[in-house]
Amino acid sequence: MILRKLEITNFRQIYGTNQIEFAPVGDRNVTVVLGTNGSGKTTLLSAFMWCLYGTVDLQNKDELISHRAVQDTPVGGTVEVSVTLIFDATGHTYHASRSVCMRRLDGGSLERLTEGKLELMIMGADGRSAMANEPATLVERLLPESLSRFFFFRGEDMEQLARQGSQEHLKKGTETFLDFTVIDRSIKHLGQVSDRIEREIRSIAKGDAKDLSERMGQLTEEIDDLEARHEHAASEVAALVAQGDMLDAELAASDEVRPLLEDKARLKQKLQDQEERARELRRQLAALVSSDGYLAFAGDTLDRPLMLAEQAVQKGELPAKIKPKFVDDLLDKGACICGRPIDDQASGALRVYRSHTGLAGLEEQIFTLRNGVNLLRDRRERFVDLLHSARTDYSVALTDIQRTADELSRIDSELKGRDFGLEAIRALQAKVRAKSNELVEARVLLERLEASTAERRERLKELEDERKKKLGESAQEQALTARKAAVVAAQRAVVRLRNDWAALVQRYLDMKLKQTWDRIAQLERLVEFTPDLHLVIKERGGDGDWIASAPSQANQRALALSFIGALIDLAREVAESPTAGVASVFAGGEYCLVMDAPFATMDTFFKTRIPRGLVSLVPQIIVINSNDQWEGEVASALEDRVGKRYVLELHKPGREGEDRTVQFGGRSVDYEVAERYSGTDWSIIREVA
Amino acid sequence: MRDRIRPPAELETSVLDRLKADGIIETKQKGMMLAAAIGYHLEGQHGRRGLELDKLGEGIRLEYFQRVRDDAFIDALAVSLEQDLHALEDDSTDSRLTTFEQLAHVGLMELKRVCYDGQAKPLDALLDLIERTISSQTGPLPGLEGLGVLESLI
Repeated sequence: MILRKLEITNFRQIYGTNQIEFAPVGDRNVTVVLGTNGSGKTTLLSAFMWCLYGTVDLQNKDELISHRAVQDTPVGGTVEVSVTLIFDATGHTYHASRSVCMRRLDGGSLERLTEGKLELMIMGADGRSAMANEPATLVERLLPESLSRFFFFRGEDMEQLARQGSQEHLKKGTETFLDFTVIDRSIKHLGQVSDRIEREIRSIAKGDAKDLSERMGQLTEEIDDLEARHEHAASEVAALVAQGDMLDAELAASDEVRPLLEDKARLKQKLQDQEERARELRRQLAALVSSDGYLAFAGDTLDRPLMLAEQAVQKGELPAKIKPKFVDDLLDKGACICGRPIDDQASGALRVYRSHTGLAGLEEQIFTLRNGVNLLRDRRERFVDLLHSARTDYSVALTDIQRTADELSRIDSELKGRDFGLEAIRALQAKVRAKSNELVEARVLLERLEASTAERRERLKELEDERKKKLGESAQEQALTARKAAVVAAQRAVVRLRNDWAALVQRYLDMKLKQTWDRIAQLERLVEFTPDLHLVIKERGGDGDWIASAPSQANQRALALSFIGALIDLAREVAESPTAGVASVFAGGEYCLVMDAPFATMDTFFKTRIPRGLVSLVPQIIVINSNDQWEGEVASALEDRVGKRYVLELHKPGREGEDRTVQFGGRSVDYEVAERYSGTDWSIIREVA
Repeated sequence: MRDRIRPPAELETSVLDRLKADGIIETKQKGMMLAAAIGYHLEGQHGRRGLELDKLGEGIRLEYFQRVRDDAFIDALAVSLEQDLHALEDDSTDSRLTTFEQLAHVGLMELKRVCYDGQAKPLDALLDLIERTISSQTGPLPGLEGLGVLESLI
């Protein structure tokens, strides 16, 4: 299955109609989609699953549709959600599409008008096309749902695959390749035939043989009951193992993430300090504005009084030749400074002079104003300088905050919510102990059931042998006994064949896994796909022997990716085998890998090697990840293989200036867009040419 | 003779109190200085005297303006608008204060528009306005380069 194009309309986070044309098989076979947290990376993965199988991991089915699209739809209006996937497989091109139409009701709820049925159109190489009569069956043949998790997956699910509890998934996956459906049906059918013959034997048996038959019947019922209980207990054990795996992984992660948590704590403190500094700078800015901000608007107010005073000087009005107070004192005293009395004529002249002193009477006020204004001019100059430097400091503080917040966001994305405190670790350890005790009890029960079943089977065999001796010589009894023996022998042979075949493929996959590991991981470890269908990784012990280790998340991902690489190789060989297409459920062929954040928790070593190794092994790769996960080692490793680039452009409520761009393919592209008037998030897919 | 400066009652609550609560001005006196300067910047340069004052709010004693050495600005505003140094006469004190209050009225309305009617945070909006105003002012006014002459006279 090689992907050509994906068209998504209003599917969950993704708003409107968006398309992705995938990089074809060849030298540039990698398609990269960048998206920040919440932009819909997992939504993209879900779109594939919904289109092909109609499955989507949602509790509320209304969540299928873009909130933004619903907002745009008037009450009573309809809105459509659809996904179309065009792909090549088995020499044909397929158009798979699924869509649902909904009506918006008063109050905001949605009424589903159509059920999302899969439609599949097949186009031959000759250009002729036809609609598939049973599209789901055909899709199941092209890519069985049980195998889809190996080809469309989230990075964190990969680690799961390499854990002990994933045995069932691995078993199911390999059995799908082996096409055990027909064989299992044969085994079941032979069992039914054997039971029918047994019932016939019992109905004609007489005397001791009849008694023995009845006891055999009871024993068979007991065995059936024990087997049912065994099956139930086995599934309980598997569930407990899976839960234990999860807890172990969480505990292991607590060790792995400790350096990240330390970094996070340090950065959080740094961010707090930077935010406090920004708040302090803002307080300083406010204090500056409060104290002298008005001087910025003073304009010529601080110049005009000085200008008017200068004009008065030029006119001779200032400085006053005789002070008006001096004249007033003379008039009050009625005598000149030399003591001579002032007569009426002189007094009249002085009064006229007094009335024409002009600005001389305001000299003191002008002097005070001049000093005040000069002071204000100095303050204004200092204010402008301080304002400029405080604003620069504030702007630098904001940039520092943004940088630290980005670093924190990168660490958060690496942590993926695995934030362990001491209390959480203790609680986790207690859970592991409790789960481990439960598991021991469940295994003891399982063993007891197995022993009881074996004992009864043994007894049944004895009874059957005894009955053979007691059965009469009639031709009918002889024939039925012989038929039953033949059917049981046939059933055993088919079971043996099935097991041998499974072991063969297990060994083949084990070999492929080792080759793939060497090719893509290039790290000295012994990897195994064991006969009981576990993925195991071993490292050299002190004495040089291989010992099983508790693998890191990075190792688990690398191991799972190697296994998937081996499966892809096997799928190619299934298609090329001489019996391809004959009575087989799975067609095989070339397969793409669609991966959401596949390299997130890997260290530099794996980030460089795994992407390169995968590209050489897998015909087509689609990597969906954040910019943080992409830039650096992964981008360097894949850059020359990238054929198509897209960005999930996240629009979210925010203020002007909160937009974020990233460098991608040598271009600056919008990554987060702040929407001032929006109350919801949405994303659109943009191609980066 | 008046000894208090009084803001318009409605704008005292809706702008001055709010600016104070938002930490943008420390006192109402500082808010009135900012408002009067903005009022002058908008209206005074064109020779207009702002609006007729309606109901006035709580008065701020002139002494507060003197204490922080802002009183010279009140006088400078009056002289600039009158184009006459006689505006400094004691008899004109009431008139100088009224002029200041009228300009502050205009400025408070502008502060309301800039700080509280837009999307940006009030302090950021005000800082932008201040930056724009500073960058629009270039050097001393033509003809005022020789102000040094006065220094030697008084």
